[in-house]
Amino acid sequence: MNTSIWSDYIGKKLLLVAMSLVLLTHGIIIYFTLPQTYDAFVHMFFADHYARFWFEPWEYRWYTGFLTISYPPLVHQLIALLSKLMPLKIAFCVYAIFIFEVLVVGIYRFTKLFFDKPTAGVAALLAVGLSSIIETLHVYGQLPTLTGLAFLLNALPFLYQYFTKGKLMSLAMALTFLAVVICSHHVTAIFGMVFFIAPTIFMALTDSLEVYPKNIFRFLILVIKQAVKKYKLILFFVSLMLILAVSLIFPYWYWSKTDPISQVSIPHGSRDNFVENTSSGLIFFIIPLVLVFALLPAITYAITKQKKLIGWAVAFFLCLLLGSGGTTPLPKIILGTNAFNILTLDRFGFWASIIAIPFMAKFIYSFVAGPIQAFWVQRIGASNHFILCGFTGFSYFLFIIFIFHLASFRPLQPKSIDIEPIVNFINRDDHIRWRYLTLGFGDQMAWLSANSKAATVDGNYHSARRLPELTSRPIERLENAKFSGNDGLASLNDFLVNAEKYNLKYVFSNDRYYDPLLYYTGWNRTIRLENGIMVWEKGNISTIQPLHPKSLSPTLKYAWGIIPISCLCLAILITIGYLKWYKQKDYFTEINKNEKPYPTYVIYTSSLIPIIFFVGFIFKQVFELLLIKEQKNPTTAVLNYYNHLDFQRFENAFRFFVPSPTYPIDQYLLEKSVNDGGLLPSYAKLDSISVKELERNADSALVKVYTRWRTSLGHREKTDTLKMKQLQEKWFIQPLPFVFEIADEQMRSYTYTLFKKLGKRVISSFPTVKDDRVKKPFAAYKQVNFIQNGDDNFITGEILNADDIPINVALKILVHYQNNTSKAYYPGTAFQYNLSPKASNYFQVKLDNVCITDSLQIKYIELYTETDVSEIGYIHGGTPGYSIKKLQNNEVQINTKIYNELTTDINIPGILVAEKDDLGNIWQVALGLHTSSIRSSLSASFSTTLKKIQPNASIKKSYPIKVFINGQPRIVMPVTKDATANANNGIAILPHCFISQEIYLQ
Amino acid sequence: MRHLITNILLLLLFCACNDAPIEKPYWMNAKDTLYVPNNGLVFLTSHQQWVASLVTPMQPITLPIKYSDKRYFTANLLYSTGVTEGPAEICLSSGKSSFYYPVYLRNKKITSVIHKDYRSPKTVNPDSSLHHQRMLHNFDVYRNIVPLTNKNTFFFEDNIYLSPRTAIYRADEKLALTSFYVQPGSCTTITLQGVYNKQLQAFTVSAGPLKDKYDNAVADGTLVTFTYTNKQTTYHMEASVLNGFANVNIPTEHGEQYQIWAKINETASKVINLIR
Repeated sequence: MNTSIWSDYIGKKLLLVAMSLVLLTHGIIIYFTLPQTYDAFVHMFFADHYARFWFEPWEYRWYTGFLTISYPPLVHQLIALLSKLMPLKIAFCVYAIFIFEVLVVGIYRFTKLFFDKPTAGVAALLAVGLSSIIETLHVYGQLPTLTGLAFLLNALPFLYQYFTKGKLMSLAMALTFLAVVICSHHVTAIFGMVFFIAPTIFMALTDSLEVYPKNIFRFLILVIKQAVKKYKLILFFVSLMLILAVSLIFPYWYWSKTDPISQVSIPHGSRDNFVENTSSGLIFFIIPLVLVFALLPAITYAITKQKKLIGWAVAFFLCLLLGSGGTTPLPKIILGTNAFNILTLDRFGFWASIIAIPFMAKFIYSFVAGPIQAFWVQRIGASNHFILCGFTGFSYFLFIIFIFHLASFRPLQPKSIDIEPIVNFINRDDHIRWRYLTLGFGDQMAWLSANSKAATVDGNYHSARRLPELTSRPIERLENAKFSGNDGLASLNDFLVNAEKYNLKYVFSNDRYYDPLLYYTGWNRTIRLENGIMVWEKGNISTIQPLHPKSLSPTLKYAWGIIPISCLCLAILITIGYLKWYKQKDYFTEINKNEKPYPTYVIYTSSLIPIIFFVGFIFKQVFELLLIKEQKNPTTAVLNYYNHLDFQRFENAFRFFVPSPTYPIDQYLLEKSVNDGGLLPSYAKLDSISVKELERNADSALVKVYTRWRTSLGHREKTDTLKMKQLQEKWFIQPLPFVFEIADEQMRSYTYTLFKKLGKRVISSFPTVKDDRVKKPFAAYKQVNFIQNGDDNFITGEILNADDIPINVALKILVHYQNNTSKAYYPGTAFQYNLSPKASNYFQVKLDNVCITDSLQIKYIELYTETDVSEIGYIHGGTPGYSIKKLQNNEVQINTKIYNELTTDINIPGILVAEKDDLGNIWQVALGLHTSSIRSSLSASFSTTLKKIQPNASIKKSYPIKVFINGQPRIVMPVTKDATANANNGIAILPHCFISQEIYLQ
Repeated sequence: MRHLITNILLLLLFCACNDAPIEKPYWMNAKDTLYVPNNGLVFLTSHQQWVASLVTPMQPITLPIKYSDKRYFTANLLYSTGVTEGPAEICLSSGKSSFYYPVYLRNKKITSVIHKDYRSPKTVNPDSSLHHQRMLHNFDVYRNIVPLTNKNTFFFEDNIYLSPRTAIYRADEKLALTSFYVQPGSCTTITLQGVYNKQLQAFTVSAGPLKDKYDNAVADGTLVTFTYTNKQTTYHMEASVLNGFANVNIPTEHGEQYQIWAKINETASKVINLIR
């Protein structure tokens, strides 16, 4: 290369090309990838907060309130400012592109620390298409990380200059950029000190050395001596840096000290063992670092060859190691268990890829237009080298396109939801006065929050969670509880049951998986919005009472609103001043021009691994899509069949059946449609599967399939036996003979009595007038018992709707202890929350266990029932017939046959079982469910086992129990004998079925 | 520097400029009680450009101003036909100056009277009580309470014993909002009949007529549970009352026979046998 003016400018030209490419590629695509990202909406929510309340850090909309000083504000504040000029989403995109441009400049300048300007230009180009950056922006949407990094990289050259030349202007520039880093992303600032700033100082010190001894120890001693010689510079910088780090975001440190995070760690894929969990490895390690791995020999050679780069080599390999998550125990040992469980480790891999950029750029530049190009041209000729370059680049670009569309191939989020109908629903009829919860929204829940002033009990910023129901379990969000296993559903169950505690009245459900749990915990479907979202409502929930924000000094609030943005303004001003008065043409102390050529083995490996790697990856994808043998043996065929079934790919699932003209796909789908609707076919996800081959012949097999299904009401297990047949080296399932049950009648009629509460509200600015009020319906307690069974305490009883209209019942039990504290308990699934006129139902409410109640000593117990007129939910469906069979150990088997006399399917047939004694006292109540639906006019049988507790439990009469209906004290009615229960071994049942057809508005 | 000092002085002088204070206008035809409509409130003043309003507890009423000459102006209350009576203030404003004149507002005549008849409770269930508390009062279109006709008082309260007949009643026949309701009470006896219906191949069982102690038909939608058993299995079937009857069809299988009874809350029918 000539060192003419042309070569001096080629770097800047490449930089301009890179910046233009950012606009052309990322600028165009970001608006479309944004809704699929993990975190973009969260940052937009924070931005919306600052747009509304710049100087008030209390955000009431998530988790019953939290402080936004729990996250550095600069990025959110800048987006908030932009959102005053344009819509929030556009503001986010504009800011993202702006920061990407700053990052590209940063990488260009960072590379110039090591190499010449053309190489820095190549590095800038590389940054445009580097998989780790693309993933961080387009998959994770982590703008604060990118902002922090962009300014950190821009600060490093100034820092280097300061330590080599000792100019105060360089220090001022470095510190102003670092101030922006601190205000943007504290984690980048903290770890940036270790992985970026420390190696820069080390390199600056080594560059000041006059001699480079060969012995590493002597070299290190010299560097230490150099550090001692420049201790004033170092101390000055470190002191200022510490002062900045503490003072600029002091409210954040104040918050973390006064309100420390104490919650169960949330599992994150980046902490997985990537060998065991390959999908996590692919997302968090392989994809972001693909180019690093492909060029690892060249990077390793370049970064370890020069002693001055030792700091960078240590940082690079340490980041790479920490980024490998739980694959080895080393990251946990290095970081400590606490930090390991809190941090997301993919960020270390990301930093490793950033450190590697200059060295990758150096190799690529050399490969395309440098000594390595000459090497290959000499050996294979210019044309072949050109083809090699083309293939490598082309395959890498295909890989990058794959990452751009990663969210399409492997959906990370539910489909885009139009939030307008939800916002309209929240805004009308004072719905904003209660909290809501979203289910199945993914990160779009943050977008809904950003567009509404209503509050939700959920949230999407884990560090700010303080509700015990959330912090005590490893659950990311309530809205995706099903992905957090039993803990997630238990946490969701807590909120749905204790809705009154959080003033939670509305649930917006985008996933019918949760329907059974919602129904059986007392939620009613209200309306299906235009966007397909079902609104569930719980009756008798109090409105949100005014909450006092956590107190924070006004000085801290003003500091939080003024200092970060001032840092950025100062950085801009000082940069303008620097460019005008101080910028030097070449600010390196020295550019190492005596670079040694790469050794042959590095050239071979680093030139050929990329093409092998990328082409291999593409072939793997093609193979997985088209060529994988899904039916190579009976077990594989069954596993794949259930996989397709679980993801509702019915056409693919049908291909696993023996091809036959008598069994077309129409027949399969018809048979499936009449079996659908039950708890397992419609409301369950496959949790685990095990296949056992019972028989295996040359072309036939018999397999037993054990499946475990995860439903919102707990796990269900199922065993199927399938006959398999081999045809043309593929194994197929033989369809089971379908016994179709046909009802006797041709038409079915049923008389329903439906109710409608007619509003009388007049159009008035007054909230309501006496005339339009509907009275609170009458109800009565038929019995209330305090039961102690082993370690368990619970209240059982029976409630009657004494009115002539259907009612919704909210039951709360308040236990008062001797120490003048009290605790509220609510019924779970063992209760019918809606009752027809004159209907009664059993209930059981679990209290704290005996250890707790004995230690606190119960003073008295109060039962509060609130009633409200209900238009829906009082049809519990079906006619259950039951017989009781005594088993051993006080167990009874309840054989139930439910006849569906309604004109609709009963999707989840169920019964509410009560164990009664001879006098009619209720000892326990349980819910029994069947896994398949019952079509109209047909019956289904199932068995439930119940362990009777009477022989071991006792009814405690020692605690006074006071009962109230709608705030008025009441007397419990005398208990009457139940002849039906007595004739059935003390078991009484009520139908308690879920009907999904909305016309019945159950 | 000289210019700077001059500019600062000019700025201070500009800030020191102020309007001359405005004197409070004198109300020529001042009265403690102001009757509406009124021909005009005459004020004596040397200043012009006044804005007049009548500030009442309900809302401010703008008063049009007419200037007679340079010394007098009249604030008109001619176009207001009536107001909510009570203490009020006449407010005269000019620029930043405002002056208030307290008055007591009265209407010259009472216009149309609206009768209010509140009933509590609005819904009465004969199971508990048939008594009804009534509260009467009248007011005019301007929300002024007026004495009740023939009662020389503003409010009248009494207790009414209602008819036990289930119906929707209206305190004021023209107004749906004044409705009150007498619901049916609880069912006292359940009569049960069951016959085999060959066409349906089912037992048709009917409970009814279901009536309360005042002979009202039990409310529509009331849940009736039919429990039937064939010795081995106990069935629990539910039906809603419609027009005083609850009907169910019990499908039969292979000539089964059942014993059946119906229940509404704790009221049960006799047990009958269902035989084909």
